[in-house]
Amino acid sequence: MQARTSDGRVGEEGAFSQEGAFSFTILPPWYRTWWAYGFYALLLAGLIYAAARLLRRRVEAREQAKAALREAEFRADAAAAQAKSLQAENEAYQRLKATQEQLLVQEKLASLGALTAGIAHEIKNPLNFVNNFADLSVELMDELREDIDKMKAGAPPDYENIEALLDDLTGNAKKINEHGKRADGIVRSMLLHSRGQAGERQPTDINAMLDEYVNLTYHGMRAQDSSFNITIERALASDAGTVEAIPQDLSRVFLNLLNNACYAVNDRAKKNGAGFVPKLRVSSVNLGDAVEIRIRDNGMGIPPEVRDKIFHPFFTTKPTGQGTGLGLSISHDIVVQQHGGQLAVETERANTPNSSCACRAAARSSE
Amino acid sequence: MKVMVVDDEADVRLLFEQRFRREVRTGQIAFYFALSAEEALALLEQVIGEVSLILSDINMPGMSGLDLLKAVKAKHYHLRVFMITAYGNAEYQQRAADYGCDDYFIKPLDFGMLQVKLLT
Repeated sequence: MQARTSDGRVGEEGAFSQEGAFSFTILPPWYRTWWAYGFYALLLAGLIYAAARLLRRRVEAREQAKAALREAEFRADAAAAQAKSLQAENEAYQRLKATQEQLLVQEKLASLGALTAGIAHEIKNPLNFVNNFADLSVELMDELREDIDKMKAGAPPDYENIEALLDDLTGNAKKINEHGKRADGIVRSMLLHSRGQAGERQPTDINAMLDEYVNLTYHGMRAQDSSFNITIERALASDAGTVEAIPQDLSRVFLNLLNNACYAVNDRAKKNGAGFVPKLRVSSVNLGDAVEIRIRDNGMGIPPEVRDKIFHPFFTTKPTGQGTGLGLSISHDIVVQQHGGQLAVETERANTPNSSCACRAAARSSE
Repeated sequence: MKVMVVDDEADVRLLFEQRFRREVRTGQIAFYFALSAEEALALLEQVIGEVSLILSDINMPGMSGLDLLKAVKAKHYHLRVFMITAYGNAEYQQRAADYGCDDYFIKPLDFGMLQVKLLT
């Protein structure tokens, strides 16, 4: 670049003046500055990042939804399977329950069957007495009428004989009543025994019940097997009194224990033959807050390997068809669960001549 | 005649005493009563010369009537023993016959027939 002075003075024609140098810088517009570019880059990076994030989130959300769906499906499947298995389980349970009820009824019938012969015998006896005393009373009254006829004909009254006849008549009427009640009691206890519904606790004369069931069991065994015989020893505590018990259930316990005892001695009697004296000892003891009943026999005893199992349902040592295996298991439930008592078994020297087995049942007594 | 009646039912005594009250009054028949076969055997030892007949139930706790029959006949063969039972069981009857039973009655007892048999 060259310049002229304002007065036109020019140094030398064409000569250039002294070079004047101006320096300037051209600044780019703000949007083209390096920091702007940096900003752009940053912005771009940010946008890319945001987009990537958005995208990833979307993918993730989709994945999550898919997973949730899968899970829901899985759960639904599982729930369906569970429902199915529950239903199957429920059906199985219902079947089991029905079977159990059936078995309980069977056991009840089996023990009732064992009772029937005893009951028939036990009822026959009082009925015979009722008939006999009634017949006798008719005879006595005929005799009384004869006396009256004699007196009418002028004979002196035989007061001694008349009074003796009246005493006998009164005694007979009492006996008829007594034996009638006895038969009635037997029928009632049989009905109680066979009745299905749950009974209620009531004050129960424990010795009387035990005594009655000893007789029923004895006659029941006798009727089934005429060779059966046993010496029965009763040691019943006079102060045993009454206990709060469900009579039809507790009587089943006695029946089961007594039947087992009789079966055991009979079994041994058959194996040992003559010389063996079958014995049954039945005792009751008042323990204060409970009454203890012991039923002891001198049968074969219970081997140790069996002792733990005897209260298990369906466990039986009897030959197939002779026992349901439920007697002791039911007895255990009745004594322990229903009456808050204990049922224990003791056995001494199994399979020895002195072996014996005692079942001890204690029930809480009434206040 | 003296008769021993063996039965575990105590009221049997009342029945016999009333049924045979005329015979008892006139002294034709006298009774002994035992509530078990064991008691009967013990009693028999005391009155053996007097008793001419034993009437025994079969089903009794402890020693049975059949065992009593066997024991009595083993010792006193000529003593008459009549069995009385609630069961018309052929096996019982056979065993009773084997042991030497003189007569066999089934409950309910026909006292009229028994009376005839006792007094003839």
